[in-house]
Order: sequence, then structure tokens, then C-alpha cells
Amino acid sequence: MHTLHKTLARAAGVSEVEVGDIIEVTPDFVYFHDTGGPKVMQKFKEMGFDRIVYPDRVACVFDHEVPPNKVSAANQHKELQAFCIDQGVRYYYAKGICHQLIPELGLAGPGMLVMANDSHTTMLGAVGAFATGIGYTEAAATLGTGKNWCKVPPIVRLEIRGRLTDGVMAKDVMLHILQEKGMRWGLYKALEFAGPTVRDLDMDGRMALTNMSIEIAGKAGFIEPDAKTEDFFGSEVYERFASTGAGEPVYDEVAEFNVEGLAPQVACPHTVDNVRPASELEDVPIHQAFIGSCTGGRFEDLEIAARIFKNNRAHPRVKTIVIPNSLNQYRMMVDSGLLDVFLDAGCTVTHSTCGPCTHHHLGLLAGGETCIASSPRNHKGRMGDKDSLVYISSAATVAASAVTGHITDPRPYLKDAVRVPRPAKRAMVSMESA
Amino acid sequence: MAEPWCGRAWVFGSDIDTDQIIQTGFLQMFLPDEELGKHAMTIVDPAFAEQVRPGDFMIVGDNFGCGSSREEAVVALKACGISGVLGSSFARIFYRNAIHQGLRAWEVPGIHEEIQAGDRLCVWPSEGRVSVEDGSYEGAFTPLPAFLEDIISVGGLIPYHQQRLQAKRSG
Ligand code: SF4
Repeated sequence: MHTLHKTLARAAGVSEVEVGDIIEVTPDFVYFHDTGGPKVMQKFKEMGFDRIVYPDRVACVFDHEVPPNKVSAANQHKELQAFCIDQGVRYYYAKGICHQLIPELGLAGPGMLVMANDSHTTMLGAVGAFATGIGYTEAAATLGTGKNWCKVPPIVRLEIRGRLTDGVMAKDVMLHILQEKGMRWGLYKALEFAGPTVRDLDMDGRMALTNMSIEIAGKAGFIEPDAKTEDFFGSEVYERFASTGAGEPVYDEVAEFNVEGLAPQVACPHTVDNVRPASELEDVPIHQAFIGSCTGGRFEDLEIAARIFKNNRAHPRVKTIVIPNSLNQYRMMVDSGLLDVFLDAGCTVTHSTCGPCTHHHLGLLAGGETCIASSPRNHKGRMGDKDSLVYISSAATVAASAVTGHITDPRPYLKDAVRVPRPAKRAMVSMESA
Repeated sequence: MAEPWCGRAWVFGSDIDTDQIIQTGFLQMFLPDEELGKHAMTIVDPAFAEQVRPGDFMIVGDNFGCGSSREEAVVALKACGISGVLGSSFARIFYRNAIHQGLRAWEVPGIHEEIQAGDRLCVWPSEGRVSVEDGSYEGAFTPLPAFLEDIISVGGLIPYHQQRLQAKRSG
């Protein structure tokens, strides 16, 4: 059995599963956030549940509208926070975006079945989990019973080869896959990203791939754990997960991709598979540039953007917003001196939140405005007015575009730039909830 | 052999997203479920909400219910009184929401190319069988396992757990 099928079998308490089986499972970890959470809580109460069965396997992450920007949000947060305290569930307030924070805290890892009330839960496949998004009603029932169900998906191996040149990132690879396969290709399937290109990627880039698995309709994304996964958790935490063990490399389908010589890619309005090379879009002026989100707000994204901003200011007419996607990433930005670069370049740097990625909180677009963003989605109205436009790209392309004021291929800006090394890990202090 | 469920077919295409099933505008009005039903599918076919009868079936193409994961899309269709949706494939989260809200969604690959609007269909839910009454079409699907059938037959997760917990308390 493949690692993912082994994970499902274990969570179902059976020795084997087959593609298409509908199985009852006990997820190892469940989480929700501040916009879905209030509905989860409401349904939980409506169903008549009293206590969450496994409170130690649950987390609530306040990340979408934090700190609150309207009274209604403040009131909802207050209620949700009280619910968490009463139920003995850990919660994190403005400490990072849920999909980044949960693995960073070592709460989910290899071999675990994770179900969370958000579609980008697929991201946790980068650290070896079977992770998938669920609705708020079923999330409520899962809290009350400890159980949910799952249809065993076929597993597709995406074999990716070819060297990425400087300025071409995992995000570009994903946009390339979307262009080739379209937004429906991964329906019901679990997508394993594999091959030399994927092995070479750091955890940051790997997370960008599994994160966007949902954009191609995948039920889950996955990368077989290796030394980089162990490094991400640190050996002590990694050991805790190790017992579950890897499965076999058996696949229901294999798809090959060659990304040798791939140029920076951009998804144009209003779908993520409407992809063209950045160099063909140089006549598109932009009003806002956004580096952040669970897809494109990690150290790797911040570092490459800072290399571009080092000797180039953001264009004075472009609202340039930089958001590290967790407190940990924020610290790395500060420790490595990137914050200074962003401030000198005229960027607005905010605390860790979803921010402009979805039209909930800050950085909304006006009608007729255009944004280029390192976030995952660009459907109509995603970032503000229904008549605004969103182009999706890597953080490098966003930064180069912020400098020129129109969509720009970042490669020329990186020619002589010196790479900033990743700073040493710092302990995740002040994280536990009250 | 259990009695089949029979009704008329309404046929739709592929990639119908949840915004086409129920427009965002209606959600912000906080309408009761029955009212939501009156606005179901109006972008795609205004006649549907007016003329659909309890017991009718919807036939859909691939990826039905893609886009935003709003659970109201399911609520609106259920409120129309349809017996179920037979589709070539469903967006995953729509399929899950359907079960959890008590709407039957059966996956029958290619069905939308075989059925004509207005055909009379018969469906045997527990046997996983569907046919056009005049015998011009026969299709098959995997019946739901018992633990999901239990949820769907009482109208979804909320009534299911309400009844279960009530029984536990009084029992
Ligand atoms: S950053 Fe964007 S895609 Fe990620 S969880 Fe937040 S809103 Fe969703």
C-alpha cells in the first residue's frame, strides 16, 4: 500500500483499504479558523453535543481577520475563544496562518490523518500527512464524535524533472502544471509530488506545491518525507511521527512534467489555469503587489523578494504589502535583516494574517484595480471589488512587478543579487494558548 | 427487490459551480430554506425552480458543485424536493456537503450524455441501479455504506446527531 493508503487504513482501524472504499476514520488532528470556526461551533451546539471528544487533537487558529477589523468579528472571536477555553482546546491568536502554524508547532506530521475546515489543508501533505479540507457541519460532527469518513482516493505520482533557474520557484511549477492539466484534473485524487525537482526543493517550496493541490481539485497533496522533513521538525519531534512508517511506491497513475528552462509564470484573471509567461504580460499595469498567504509567505518567498528590493524601491504608485505567514517566518525575516530591506523599499509589512488573500480583512482592491499576488486564488472578487483583477505568480515576480509598476519577469533583477542565508531556528516561545 | 424511486429528469451540463446553483446575493438575505429553493439554478435554467416537482431528479455532468464550498448550494437543491442528483462527477466538497445535509448524490460516469430532459427515471438506491422507464438506458452506481445511509435518511448530520443524542439522554 502507498503511504497515504496506509495512513487511511490505520485511521480506519483496518489492515487494508482499496481505492473507492468508503471508510469511517478517526482523524489524528482537526483544526478550524476564525471565519469557519463560529459556524463549526454553532453546528456543534445545534447537534446537541456537549464536549469535544478529543480536545487535545484539536486546534483553533485565529488567522483570517486578526486583530478584528469590525465589531462583528470581534464579537465572534470572543465567543469562539470562550468556546475553546471551555472545551480545553488550544487556540492561537494572530500567530500565523493555520496551515503554516500547525506543522511548525509539530502538531501534525508524517503518517497523520488531518482534517480541517479549510480547502488549503492539503498543504500539510508536504510534511507527509494525509490532509484534506472538510465542511463546517462535518467538522462539528467530527469534534463531537471523533469520527468522520473518507473515500479512498487513487494516487497519482507527478514525476517532475528539470532544474529551476534562479527566479523560477515551486509556484511557477504549480502554475505550469495547472496550465497543462486544467483545474479539474485532480478531482477525487491524491497527488504525490515526486522526482528530482521536488527532492531539490526546500520545505518552503514543497509546501507551495501541496498547498495548491486543491487548485487542481486534488483531495490531498503529498511528498514522501525525507531528510528535509526531519530537518523541518527537528529530530526529536520527527521521531514521534516515525513509528507510522512509509508505504510502497505504488500508483494508480503517473504523470510526467519537465520543467527544465521553465520561465516565470502568471495566472491571469479569473482562473488559476489561465496561465501565461510573465514576459508576455509586461503591458499589464498593477496597483497593488502582495507577498504573503499560506501559499507564498514563507522565508524563501521573503528572501527572493528582498533580493529584488535590495537595490530597487517599490514603485511609488504600487501599494506593496509584505506578510510573513507565521510568527516563525516573521522572526526569520527580522533576524536575517530582510525587514530593513522591505522598509527601505517602501513596502508595508504587517503581522501574520491571511490579509489581502481573501476579501475579509485588509488590503482590499477597488473596482478597476489590479493586483499581482503570491497567494493561491484569483477568481472574480477574491481580493475586493468584483471589478478588480488578480494575477497570481511567485513572490519573485510579484516583487519585480512592484518595482516596475507592471507585470515583470524577475530574472534580470536577480543576476548579481546575493542570497541571504536562512537564519538559525529559534524556539517557538509564547505560543501556547492561555 | 425494494421499490424504485421514479421521477422526471432535469438535465444540466458540466462545471456548474455553487454560485450558479445559488447566487451569493440570496445568501446575504438569510432566507429560509424553502425560499432558497425558489432561486436554485436560476442562472442556468430559470424554468427549473418554477417547474421542478418533488421526486424529480437532476442529471449533471462533470465537477458539479465546484467553486466556493457554501453548504447553502445543497440546501437550496434539497428544498426543491428533488429525490437526488445523478452526476458524471461531483466536486468533492459538494459531494460531502450533500451527504451531510441529507441530499442524495449518486456518481454515474457519463450519465448526462445518455439522459434526455423530461425522461422518466427510476432509481434503486440500495441496489445502485438507475434506468429510464422505457428501458433505453441502464446505469449503475455504488450504494452508500450503511453508516452514511443512516445519516442521509434522517436528513443529514444535524438531525442525525440530534436524534441520537436525545435517544441517549432519554434512554
Ligand atoms: S492565506 Fe488565503 S488561501 Fe491561505 S488560508 Fe488564508 S485566506 Fe485561505
